[in-house]
Amino acid sequence: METNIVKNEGITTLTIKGRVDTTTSTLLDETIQPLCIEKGIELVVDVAEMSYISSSGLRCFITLLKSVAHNQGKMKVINMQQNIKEIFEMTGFTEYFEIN
Amino acid sequence: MKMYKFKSFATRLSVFTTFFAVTIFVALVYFIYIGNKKVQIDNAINYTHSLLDNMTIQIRDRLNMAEDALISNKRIVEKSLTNERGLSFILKGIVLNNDVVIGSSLAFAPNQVKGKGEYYMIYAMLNSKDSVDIKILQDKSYDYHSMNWYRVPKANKQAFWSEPYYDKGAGDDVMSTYSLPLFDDKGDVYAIFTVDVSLTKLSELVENLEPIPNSYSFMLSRNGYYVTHKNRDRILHETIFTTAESQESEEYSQIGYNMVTGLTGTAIFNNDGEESMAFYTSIPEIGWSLCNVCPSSVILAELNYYTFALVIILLIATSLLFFCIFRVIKRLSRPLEEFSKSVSEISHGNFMAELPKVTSEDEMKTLHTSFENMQVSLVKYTKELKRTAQEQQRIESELQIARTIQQGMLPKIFPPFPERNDLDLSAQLKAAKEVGGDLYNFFIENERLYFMVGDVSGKGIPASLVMAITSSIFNTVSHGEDSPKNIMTKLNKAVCSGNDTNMFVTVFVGILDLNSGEMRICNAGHNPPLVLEPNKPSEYLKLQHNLPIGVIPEFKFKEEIYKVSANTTMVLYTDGITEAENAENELYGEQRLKEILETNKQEEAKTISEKVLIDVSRHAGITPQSDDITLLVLKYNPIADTQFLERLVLGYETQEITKLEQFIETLGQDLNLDFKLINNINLALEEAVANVIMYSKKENTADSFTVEVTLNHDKSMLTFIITDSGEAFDPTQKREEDINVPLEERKIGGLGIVLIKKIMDSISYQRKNGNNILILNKNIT
Repeated sequence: METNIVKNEGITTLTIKGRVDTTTSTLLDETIQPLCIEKGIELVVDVAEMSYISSSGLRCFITLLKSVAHNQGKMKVINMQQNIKEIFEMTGFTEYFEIN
Repeated sequence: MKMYKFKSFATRLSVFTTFFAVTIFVALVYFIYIGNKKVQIDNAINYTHSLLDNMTIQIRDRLNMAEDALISNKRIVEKSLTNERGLSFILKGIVLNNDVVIGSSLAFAPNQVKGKGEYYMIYAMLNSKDSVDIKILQDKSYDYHSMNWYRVPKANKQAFWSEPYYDKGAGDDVMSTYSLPLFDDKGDVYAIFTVDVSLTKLSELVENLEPIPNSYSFMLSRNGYYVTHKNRDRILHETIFTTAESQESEEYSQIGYNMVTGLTGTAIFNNDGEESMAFYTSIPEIGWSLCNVCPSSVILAELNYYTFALVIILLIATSLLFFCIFRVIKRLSRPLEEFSKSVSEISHGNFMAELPKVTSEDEMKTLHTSFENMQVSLVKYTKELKRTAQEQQRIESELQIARTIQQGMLPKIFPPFPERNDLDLSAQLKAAKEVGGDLYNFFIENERLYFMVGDVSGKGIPASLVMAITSSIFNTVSHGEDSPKNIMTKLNKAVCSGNDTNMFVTVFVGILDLNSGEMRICNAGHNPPLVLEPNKPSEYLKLQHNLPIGVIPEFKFKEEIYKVSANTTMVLYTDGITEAENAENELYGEQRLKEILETNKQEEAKTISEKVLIDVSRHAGITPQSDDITLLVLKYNPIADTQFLERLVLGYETQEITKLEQFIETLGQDLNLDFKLINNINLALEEAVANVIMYSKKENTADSFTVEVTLNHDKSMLTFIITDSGEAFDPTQKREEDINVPLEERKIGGLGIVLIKKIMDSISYQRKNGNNILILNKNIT
């Protein structure tokens, strides 16, 4: 799994590539820490190249979403692959996330 | 108030009776005494006063005699005034003729007789020789003009009794003088004619007045001087008032006053410390008074004596009464004491203790008879009791043997088929009494499991006999028979023959083909089995109805076929479970049975049956079990047709999860599965394995666990079996989070099991031989 955070014109873009499983989700957990405390963040999560996500990865997403909401920020997920979207649907997460 | 408790019956009754008698006696004596005392005193008063009156008369007689002597001689004296010898003779005669008179005189007023001058008095006086001396007084040596006996009558011109006085010259005696004035023609007193009365003589009279023994009498003068008294020193020296003063006695003083005033009466007073009675009266002519003093004790002496004697007699009588009553009651109650000894002995176990002999025909005899009857009854009942107890013991020990025999008819080694992976079976039978009418049986023959559960109508010994018959016949007829209908028909005929008591048996017979999972069932009136399949609510098998066996020998039983799916738990039981009652008469019920089974359906058969029985007895509480209870749990998980594909061994580290990706990818390619399916299977397996790694590991757990993959016979179903020896953990029981809640309420955990259930077609868990076995099925067609 690879991650990258880019800030541009007030918009923060988090790019996640590869497999987010039980092992790698700890890495993702660390990566999103600074984003969780930023006030009024406008966050875009680009998952175009995220091929796999397990429940631990989903937990990172929900943590991030709750933190952003708590800090009056905005968050959207873009470029989600179909198989990932199905997993999101299984857990009911599509209700919470703005997915484009 | 503290009551003194008399110990013995006899003492108590005697004391009460005596007390009663004494009370009556005391009252009697008191009234007799009071009544008699009044009579006694009245008698004393009457008697004494009559004597006093008598004495008064006597004294007055003497005094009258003295007065008469003067009056009768008055005329002669008046005629003989100049004849000194004649006068002397007259006076001498007066003295001699009266025994109380000791002297008589004629005292002239001055110059009444010629030649005699101022003093002239002729005096006749009794001398010591009882003769009379005549004295002629003509000078001043005896100045009689100043004497009371001369002066008072002369002045008053009246006869006069002088106060008593002591005259040494005149007879050396205490006396009182009666003076009679003699008048001349002009009415002037020219001489005083006197007699001297010896008070000593009166004293003797008065002193002899002793109407009552120990009483004494005295006489008082007008002024209250003692005229006569037993104590001579008081005469003329003391008055009654001085005596009263010295004795400080108001009453005595009052008596004195009454006497001097001339009253007659009786008084009680304190005479120098002794209660006494004074009886007094007066002699009005001379103003003297007479008194008799008598101690009250003397008056009442006789009464006191008789009263004392009466009291003594009554005391003796009372003592005798007490003694007699005591003896009589003692004698009457003696048998009671002896009875109490006998009863005490009886109470210590000697039922034939000797009873006291009773010769009388009274209540004691009745008591004696009752005791005899009691003894006989006690001995009889004790013998009976002993016999009954022995009988009871014999029956109980025989029942224990019967129980052992009956229990021996039931297969009891669990698990019964440890070598089989596809079958787990456990059965329990709890009889309500020593022996019961429930039965079960099972065995495997030719890869077929024969099993049966039965319930004989009724319970106890009769039911147990029928149970034994049924169980034996099942063993005999079922071998080699592949149709439960036939087994049931034979059972029915055998039980019907000679069934005079009309007992019947509900029986369930099943034959499960362990290779195909096909079960042939014949149910003769028994409650249908509960079936628990993975991911389905438990439900009762709907079976055709047959009559219980033992009712109609020709009954045509029907059988049916049921396909047992993989990982099915089937529970057979008798109604002792669902109808177990608690103290509130509430039944255990089918619902509660279903709940406990569904909660524990992943457990081994033995654990399931144990948990059910514990739950039933928890429901019943202290209420005794009223019916036999039988439970048979059968778990079938056929694996015969599956094809083993792969096995992955993993350690308990998170990093191990990465091995899954390669493993699943290889498997997917081998089976030509598409990318998405592979990804999903990977995800479900990752979640399951992650659970094992995170929750299952404990100290003694082996370092690794396995993931095995099998494919069923028509290659439609992939089965993943994750087996670990860690702590018992059933992920299917993990609470599934509700995924349809707002974000704020969404919990972070619980996602894994959601994913597994969504991806896989079925998921089941079982704990077997200390292993957690999680089975995931995925349809791949």
